[in-house]
Amino acid sequence: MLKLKSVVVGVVILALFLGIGLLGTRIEANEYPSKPIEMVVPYAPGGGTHIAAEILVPGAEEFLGQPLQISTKPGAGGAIGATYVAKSKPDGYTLLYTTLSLAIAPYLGKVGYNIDDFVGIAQCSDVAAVIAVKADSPWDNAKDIQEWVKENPGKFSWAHPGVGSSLHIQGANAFFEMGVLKDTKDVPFKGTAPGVAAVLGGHVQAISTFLPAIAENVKAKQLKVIGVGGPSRLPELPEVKTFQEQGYPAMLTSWRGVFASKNTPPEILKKLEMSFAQIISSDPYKERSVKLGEPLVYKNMSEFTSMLRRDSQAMETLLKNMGLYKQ
Amino acid sequence: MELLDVFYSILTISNILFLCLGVIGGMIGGALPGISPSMTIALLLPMSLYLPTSNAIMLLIGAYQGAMYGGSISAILINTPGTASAAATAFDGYEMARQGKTGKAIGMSLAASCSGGFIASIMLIILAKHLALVSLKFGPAEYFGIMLFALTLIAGVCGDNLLKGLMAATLGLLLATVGMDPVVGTERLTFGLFNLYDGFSMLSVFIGVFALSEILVQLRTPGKDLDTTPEILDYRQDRLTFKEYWSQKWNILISGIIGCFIGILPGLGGSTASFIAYAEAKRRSKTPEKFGTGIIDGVAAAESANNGVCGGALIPMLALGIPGDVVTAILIGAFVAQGIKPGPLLFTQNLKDVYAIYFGLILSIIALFIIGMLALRFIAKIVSIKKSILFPCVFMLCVVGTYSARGNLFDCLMMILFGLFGYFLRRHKFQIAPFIIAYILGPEVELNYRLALRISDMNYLTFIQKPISLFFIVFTVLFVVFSVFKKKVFKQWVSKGTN
Repeated sequence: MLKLKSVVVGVVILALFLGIGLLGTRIEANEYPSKPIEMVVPYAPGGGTHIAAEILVPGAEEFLGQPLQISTKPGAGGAIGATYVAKSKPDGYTLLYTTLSLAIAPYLGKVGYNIDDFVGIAQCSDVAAVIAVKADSPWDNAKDIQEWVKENPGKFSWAHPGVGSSLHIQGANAFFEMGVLKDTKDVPFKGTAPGVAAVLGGHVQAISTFLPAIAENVKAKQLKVIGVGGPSRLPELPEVKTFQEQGYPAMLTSWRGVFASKNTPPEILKKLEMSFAQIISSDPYKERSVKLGEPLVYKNMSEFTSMLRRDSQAMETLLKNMGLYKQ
Repeated sequence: MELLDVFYSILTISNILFLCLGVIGGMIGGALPGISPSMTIALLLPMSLYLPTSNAIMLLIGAYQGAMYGGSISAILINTPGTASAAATAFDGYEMARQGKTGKAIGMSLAASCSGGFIASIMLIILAKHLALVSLKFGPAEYFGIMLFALTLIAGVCGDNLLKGLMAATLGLLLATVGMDPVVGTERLTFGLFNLYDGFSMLSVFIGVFALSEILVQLRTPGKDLDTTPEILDYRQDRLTFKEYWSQKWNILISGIIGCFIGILPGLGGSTASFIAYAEAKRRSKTPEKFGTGIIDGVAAAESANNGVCGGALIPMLALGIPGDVVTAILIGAFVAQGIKPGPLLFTQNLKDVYAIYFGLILSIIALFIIGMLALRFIAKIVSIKKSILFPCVFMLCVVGTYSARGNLFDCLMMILFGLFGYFLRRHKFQIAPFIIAYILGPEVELNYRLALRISDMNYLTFIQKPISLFFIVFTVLFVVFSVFKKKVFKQWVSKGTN
């Protein structure tokens, strides 16, 4: 009796497994996505880019139908993770979430990918860099700095968080537009924090940074912002002019967004574009991005991809002038 | 009393629960090689975004303290520092475990971690604003001074063969130069491999040189040694006595203060702190030759210092909005998402949040102590596993741990190469400590030296024009001269050379 029972139970379990198995294969054959999608963040876990990617996750199951699994693969200014994605199977199951560095890295050294290997799926945010100085310093705007540097070449140093980082490039872009890039010294600290400390302590004169890193110091009147990169002023600092308004069109901004391999089948790209557009326009995502201080700027696939190509070309001139160009 | 109000509001069941959860999570994360304290916090971060503010603070601060201690568990048990900050703990902790004193080693590590954390918390509470201003006095030139001094401490950990120690240190410095030049961005010794663009991953060096090379050395032990159950001392004999703890009181105090001070300086972290404290404890010791052979002082110094970093790193974060290390950088993100904005205005506008963080810190130390004590007996049992079973497990842990840090198989390959390299060093009686310390400090010395020159327009006098850097340089020179004469190492060395 007992034996019969266990045989019956065994058969039922087997049937269930087979059934589930069949069901699984059928879905896989018809519809993308049928399994969790890996999204590679080529930066250290816990950093700004990782957190920004993390807020896409909760909406994924609702709009994409499968969970997004974030894996961080930091290194070489984002090039290691990007190369990993470029070399993965272009089946839509390995995506890349990255920043302007995607366009920078190929010019700085050997990377395992081409800019043309990627298509943009969705731009998620756009962060402008600012140049800030100590509140009691003699400069109030870009013109003051420009004139001072011309009179004192080699005496003006500015901090950024590492050679080839997007803040390095954006800061250089501003000084380049002022025409004084070669008379300033860029000082690559290990991250933004030591740089802010060095400006506060008077060891360097300025810093290229994103506003959130210094927002409290600006409020407390320890630092002041000289100008804002990109096309528009910051909502937190409505009185501070952009560099463009001051006559020096430094337009590079650090965007963040989702990319896929360009060889991904078009119907999958379409599905991804649609789903990410839905996630980004959903209320929970908006709420979370406000909380994090991530300015929400969306661009669709064709707009975002052409922006990548355009920024990549702009980078060539700039990096040649910075003496960083290596190709 | 606002202070008491905050205290009562903090003391809720859910807060205590999340605090303990954080401590346990941190301990596990810290103990697993490859999951650094920063990654532990990063893993808990998404969860904390959906918690009420006080719960989130408790969870993250608990995890921070727990992870700093957790790293020592695997360092002591299997010679695999779970985090970079626990590498110095492995020098003596693992040797103690090999002598059957696992319980003592882990007990000391726990007691020192809690004490160091406590010392730094007190410094944070009393001196936060003043110490934050001190941190601003340090620019690249001053950093160079202090790092130069730290580098000379290497001579102290070279053991009886200064020449071999210095050779090991030079190898460490050489390997640290691999990767992108930190100032102008040219590739150095990368041989066109973009995986080496950032240099060797620190974890692959640590795990290879410590853990894998240890396995390789042990495999050479003949006979049935690998297949017998190691004897461990009885639980009662193998526990840390109060007398042993009290004998380390000055060591723990000084190391905790060193840890706190290194924590205050942005950009440096737990590994630098624990090495400096370790070397300093050895210098002070009456029996320096015993360091590295399983002496309890070594464990106490390293662990007190790396938990001291927690309190220290919070100082510039709370007072200036500048994170003191990698973990606090992530904490800032979490706090901002919770509506707390660390920065110069926090103390004037949101004193309640500051108090909540203070209490969180103190409570987390208490929770760490209790949970650590409860876990101690079970943790120590791991050593009684047969080596023939333990080693394959450790090897798998080495590979998985190295992989998980950056998700890069290349790092695993490097880890194995460094294992062979470490085996070579050990077989030929080169000390591991100078190699590791030089490897950690080398890049700091180089970067700050070059940044200082860049800022001063290539003015080499900048190092002696700045009082703090001058102080450290003079101190370094005096220290070197003094130790050469005192220990007569120099004379021995010369006589050996002439013979």
